[in-house]
Amino acid sequence: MSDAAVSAIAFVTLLTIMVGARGIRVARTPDDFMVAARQVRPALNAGAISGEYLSAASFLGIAGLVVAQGLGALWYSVGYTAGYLVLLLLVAAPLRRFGAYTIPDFAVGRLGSRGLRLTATALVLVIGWFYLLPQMKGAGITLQWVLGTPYWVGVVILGVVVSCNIAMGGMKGITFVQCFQYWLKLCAIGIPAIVLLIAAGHSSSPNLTPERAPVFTRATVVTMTQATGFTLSHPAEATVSGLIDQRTYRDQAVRLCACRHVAGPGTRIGFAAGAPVPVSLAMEPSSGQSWDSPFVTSGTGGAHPLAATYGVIIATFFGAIGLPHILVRFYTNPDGEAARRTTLIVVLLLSSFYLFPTVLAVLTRLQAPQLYLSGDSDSIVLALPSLLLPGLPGELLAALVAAGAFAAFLSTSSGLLVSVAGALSHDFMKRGVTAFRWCAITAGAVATIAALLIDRFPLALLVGWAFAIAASSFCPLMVLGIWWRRLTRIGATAGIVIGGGSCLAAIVSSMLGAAASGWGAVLLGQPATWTVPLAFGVMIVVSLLTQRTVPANVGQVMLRMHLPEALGRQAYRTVSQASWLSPDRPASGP
Amino acid sequence: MSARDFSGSSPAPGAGGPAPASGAPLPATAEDDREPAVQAGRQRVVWRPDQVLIQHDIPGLSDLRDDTSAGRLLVRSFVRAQLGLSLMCLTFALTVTASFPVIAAMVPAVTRVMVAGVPLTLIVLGFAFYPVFLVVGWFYNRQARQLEARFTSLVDPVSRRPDV
Repeated sequence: MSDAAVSAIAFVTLLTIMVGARGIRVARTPDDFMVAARQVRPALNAGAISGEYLSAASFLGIAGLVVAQGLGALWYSVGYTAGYLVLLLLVAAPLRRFGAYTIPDFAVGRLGSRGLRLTATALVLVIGWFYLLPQMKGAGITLQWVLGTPYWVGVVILGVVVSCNIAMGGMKGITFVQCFQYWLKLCAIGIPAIVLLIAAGHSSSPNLTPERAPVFTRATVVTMTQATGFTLSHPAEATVSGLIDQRTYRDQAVRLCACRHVAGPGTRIGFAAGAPVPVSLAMEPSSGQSWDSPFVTSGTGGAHPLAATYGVIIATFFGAIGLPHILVRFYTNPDGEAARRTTLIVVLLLSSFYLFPTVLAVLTRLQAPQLYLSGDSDSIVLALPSLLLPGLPGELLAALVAAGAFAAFLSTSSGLLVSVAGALSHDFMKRGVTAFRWCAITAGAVATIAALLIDRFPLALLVGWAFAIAASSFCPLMVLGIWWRRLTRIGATAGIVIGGGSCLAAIVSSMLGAAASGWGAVLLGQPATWTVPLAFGVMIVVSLLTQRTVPANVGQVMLRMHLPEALGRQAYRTVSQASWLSPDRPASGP
Repeated sequence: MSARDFSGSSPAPGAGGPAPASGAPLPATAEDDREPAVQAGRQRVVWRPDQVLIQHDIPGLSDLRDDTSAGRLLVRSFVRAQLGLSLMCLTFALTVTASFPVIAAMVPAVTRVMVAGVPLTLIVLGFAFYPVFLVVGWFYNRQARQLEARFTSLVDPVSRRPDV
């Protein structure tokens, strides 16, 4: 589209590749990671965590979902932030003191079982891949919008860049770059939001009031990129060029009734100021809720919005604990107290970021309602700047947004791919750099191919599903493992398998369209309401039934996790070198 | 690694019989003159490259190490206090946020309230929850730090002394 956007994306990608090439010797193993980043200050570390965490869903997905489905979609951004608060309250400091790099490490260090380790690793792969898909999709639609290339081109480019980059050296350990990516993303969404907000002035627009259907604030030409069904809230005069309702017009004035219409691909419809904004049938919440309803409708076809909302709340609040690529960052904190400070700063950074997608979504609603007719809500953030601010300033803002979006895909998918490839090579293949490289390429290829199949699901929904699986498997493992002495390996394995498995099954059947409406749609589309309690329940009940297998060293492990460092080091001297609990080395198997 | 070396040559902690009550820490195994590290009541331990710790023999700590009933009680009550603090903060944050959908479902008029031309829903979901999270997190960090400081001074009063 614009040269500025292309060069901005190329710049971000080249920067990432160069850093990856330089990082060959920097971030090979967790030990390098530890040595290099042992004394990372909380502010820098928090920036790195946020940079890795803010993904395509945050950058593009939330604003698009809010525009298309209403304010209820803001629960995703609230939940992504609250996830870190829950992490702070329940696991941050003990996890740092425990000193595990990955969730399988934690599982085996706390409960000591090879079977549990394999189960946990398999789930890391599932969650990691699920989380990679939306990043790939984001790259696909960004390049589609910037260059006009087909969807698959962007997907393949991101897949190749990230896989090769990780295989070459990885960018995982480079705290500074991750931190830079956070500030790049914040600027890339904050500056356009503020500029467009100022440009739009504070004219109170009617589109925010719930009573009236949205109307165009100025004469607008809507171009249908694909065959689109839409409805109008009241009759309107329009200038139509192209196919509409099976009749072809050439710049003719048509009176469109307040009913359903079908427009062919490439049709342009010119509306006068004050005309009602057409509501796309693909976007319309089927429950007929108004835009300002505080309930979630995505993934469930709009059925039982209250239950769907709680599904999203539970999944996002408790899912962040179980994400496979976040945990390793906590080990770069010097101690548990610093881990808590870091996490609080992360909450602050995420809160600041998430103000801006909201602003952009409201601006779109007010100023550019034609955007949510286009069918794909995820490209709204990309399209908005050049639409509202014609000329060079708009193009520059659009370039900034595109660069930030690419930074989001690159940083999150790099972190995820390192986790997935690390889990694959560590637990399922022989160790070593070569194995890690092949695993990175394989994992990247699998994610790329899968991403080609999922382009019809909104980004925020896909990421929400990854959170749901994490919340119904690893969250109970971490929370109970840290706070409950009586957890056993059999209980933990059963909880992970049943909770994570049922959540995955529900989501896959929802993706395949198993239940389109009613309670079935809610329970499958937003399954966290029942799978998270199920996972906790199974883990507790099975543990209580198998109390004979409680690890013998549970008291010492508890001391290690909960005592302040100064005490813990002294109290631990005798036990810590005896086994895999050594504080200077990660737990690596019984 | 220095940690390993130390563990090999370290006197068994807690095996030194009755520990000194207070004041300058006495070596529990002072008679063990094979130990070059044990000198004049203090032991200098290079634990990590970045840290130099000073070890004392502390009554509370040996209790914790030996997992005596007193030590176990102490640790359990400490962990329970930490968990209670976490759950209290979590309950507060969850109540503030997760009650909004229920309120909106029971009193639909809430969602139609406009504040200065902006829907209340937008203000609440878009902006209002974040300060709540920050305040809860800040409060939790402060309280957790205090809990830990209190526990540390309980079992290890010596290391609190400024001259050590």
